[in-house]
Amino acid sequence: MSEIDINEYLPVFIDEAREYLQILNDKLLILEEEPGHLDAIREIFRAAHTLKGMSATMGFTHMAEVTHLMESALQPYRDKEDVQLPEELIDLLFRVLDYLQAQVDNLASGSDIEPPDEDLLNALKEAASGKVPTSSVSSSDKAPSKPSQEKGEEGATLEFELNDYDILVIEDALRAGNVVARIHVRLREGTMMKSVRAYMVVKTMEDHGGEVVKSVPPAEDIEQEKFDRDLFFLAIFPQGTDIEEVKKKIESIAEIESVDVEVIKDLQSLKRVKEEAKEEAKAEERKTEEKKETPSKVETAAKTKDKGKDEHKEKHQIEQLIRVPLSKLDKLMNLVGELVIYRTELQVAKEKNSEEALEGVIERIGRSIIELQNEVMSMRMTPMAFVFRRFPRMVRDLAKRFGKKVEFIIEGEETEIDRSILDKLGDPLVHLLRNAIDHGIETPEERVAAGKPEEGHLWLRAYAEGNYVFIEVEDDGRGIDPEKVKQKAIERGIISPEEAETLTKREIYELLFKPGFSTAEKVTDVSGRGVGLDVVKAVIEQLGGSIEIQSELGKGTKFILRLPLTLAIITALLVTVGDEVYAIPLGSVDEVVEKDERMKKTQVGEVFILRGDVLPVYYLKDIFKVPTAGEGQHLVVVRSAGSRAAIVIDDLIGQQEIVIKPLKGKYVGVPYISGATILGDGTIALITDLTQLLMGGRE
Amino acid sequence: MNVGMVVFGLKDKYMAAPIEYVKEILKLDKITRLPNAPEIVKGLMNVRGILLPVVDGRKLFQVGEDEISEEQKKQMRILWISTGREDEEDIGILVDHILGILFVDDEELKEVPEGMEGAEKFKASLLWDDKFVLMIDIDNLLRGRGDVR
Repeated sequence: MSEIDINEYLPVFIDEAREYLQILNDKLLILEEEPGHLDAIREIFRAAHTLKGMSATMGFTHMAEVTHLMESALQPYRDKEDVQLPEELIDLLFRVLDYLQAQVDNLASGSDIEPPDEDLLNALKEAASGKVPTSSVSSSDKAPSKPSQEKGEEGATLEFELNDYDILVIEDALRAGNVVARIHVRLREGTMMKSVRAYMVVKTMEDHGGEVVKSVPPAEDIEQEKFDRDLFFLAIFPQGTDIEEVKKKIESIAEIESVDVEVIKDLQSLKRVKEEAKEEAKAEERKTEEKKETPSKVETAAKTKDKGKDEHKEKHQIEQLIRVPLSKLDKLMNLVGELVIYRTELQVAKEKNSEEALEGVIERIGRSIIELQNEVMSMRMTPMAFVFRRFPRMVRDLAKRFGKKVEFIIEGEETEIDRSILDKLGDPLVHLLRNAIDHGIETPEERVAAGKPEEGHLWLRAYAEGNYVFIEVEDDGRGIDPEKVKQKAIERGIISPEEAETLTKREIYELLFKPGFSTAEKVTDVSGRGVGLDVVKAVIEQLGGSIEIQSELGKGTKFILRLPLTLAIITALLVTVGDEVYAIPLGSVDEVVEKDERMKKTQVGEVFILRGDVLPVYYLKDIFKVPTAGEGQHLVVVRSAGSRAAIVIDDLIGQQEIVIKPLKGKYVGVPYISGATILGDGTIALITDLTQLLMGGRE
Repeated sequence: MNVGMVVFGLKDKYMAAPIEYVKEILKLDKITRLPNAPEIVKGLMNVRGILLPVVDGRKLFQVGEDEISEEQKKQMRILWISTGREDEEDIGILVDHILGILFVDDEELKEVPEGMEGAEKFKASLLWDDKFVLMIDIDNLLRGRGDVR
């Protein structure tokens, strides 16, 4: 893969990395309050794991290394109850966070990643080997920026933290003879609308051609009035600007107490200024601290705690972003505009009481809505390639590292899927591919010894079938030994030896998805640790999908992921059984046939002979225990994952576009139902998940 | 501190739900059966386009069942319980009738009598006039460890 390909995914990486860094930040803050908060520890562990994977995929080895060490350091604390994270370790984690943050910022500003400094790396290595870092390490010269009470003030209030890019800009400016000035504005005590004043200050600078390079506190904190009275700006003005004039203009703004301006002659003096700013800010902080007596402090702490709790709840659902071309938004806007007009037309038609006019409007509305729907759907659909293309490089790197020879074959990367689903597929697929390379495919020597070609094959395949997209990760490696899995599960106490006896092969493979199960003999950088398959399964199920393993010892292993095409709208066949209405996704319907003499009773139950094929017959009324059902008049022939079956129903209503409302949770998560929809007359129709039925029935 | 609650009746028992979790009080409308669901789940109700799972209060709190007359049906209400938390589903509890909304000082709240059957479903108890009212535990209801089947 060339450099360009990486760049293509850099924005996505930065976006995602920032989200995870945010989680790290939030959870660390919780831990600082409550070092035994197990959920927070686990969240951090998971975030570190994901970051590691992402970084490795992009080839950012320094970040991958640091997050790997971080994970190792946390490992001992992750699955014990009643554990307290040592304060030193939390401090160290904050330093790691700072480092990662800086690297992501570097990437965002087009700079390269810097290696972590020796000090940090050593401390981390020590922590990873199980030693708690000593306090002398954490209080070394680059002390961690311990967050003050309010987050967002971390470090930033203390100094102008200039990154390489800023320094470059300033150097350039100085070289070009521009005026670089550091401006300290102090607002009057009790100023109302501080952010407005701050804005006016910035505006004044801009009016003089000035450009603010840095501000303390940062812009968003200023907007949210997260500062006391002091504002520091580092700004660049055009050559020959009368800086005294600027100062006067700023002083003339209402509610400004004082303005200090210092012209920076060289970077050296800037560093001095930096120190000063630090001092002043510190003094200011002390003052603030004094003002806020203990009670208020306690209150803040309590608040943070509460908030942490809630946030923990919500953080599982990270806000997702979709990039949409402006032209599409314009089109949507137009469509909405049309609808607004039609509403007026409807009003008019009603007043006129004209059937004809009414029909016309309804037809136009119908057309607009279809168009609107298609537009929205097309925005959400994204080709698999978006995720798949990151993998070849990763596979190559991993194969090299493990000393394996792997030919990686991608099929069906043009298959489209809802963006919100696609976004969550990256991690699970990384896990599966890694597993395949690490555990599945043998070393070249082993392969030759087993009479296989030296080079292993790894397939990543996507295809659509009905309303589902299937993704397969297949290798021709050593396969999974059910006996070994059984043993391991017994060792781990997941099942008892008696239970193990009764398990089918399929049930044994299911054990691989149990939390805490990992077949990795040793912890490696990329897999093992048991974060793997249980997480993969959880993610897939959260998306309304399922995962299955097929494996043959010595031949290979195949993971099959089944995912809904979209989470929103599908076409379905509406059928009745008794007085209940069910929706069968049209994608899995082959045809509808009459219930006639082609139905035969056999020893294994009823079957339907369709053009020479023998299909198993299921009664919907039995599956759903419908109390009022008739004998059934039609059969719906459904297909999923390669198998077919005939489902007996009473009557057909017809096909219709339906909006899926997922049903999940303690009370409504029921078998063979994937969701529900509300029909035009307000009645509820349950959406059947026949794939589940067919897959279950195959055993 | 004042505690607000919606007091409702289930047969001869009185119970209350913390008012901050009661989003709305709804009249009984058509409920769509949910096959293979836990027994206490009556089904789904369409509330302005939202699918609200409705739980049978009588079964949930094990007050015993008997025939419900048409007259009684008119009195029945559904308490729409919502914590507003992302990962917790909203549910409706079907109750016999609503007595009213009550605000009491939290000092009046007593512990749930020990050894009472289904005590884990309640958070507190109180005496309101001569009525013994049990305050339900929303967390237990929504997250409860036990199997609901």
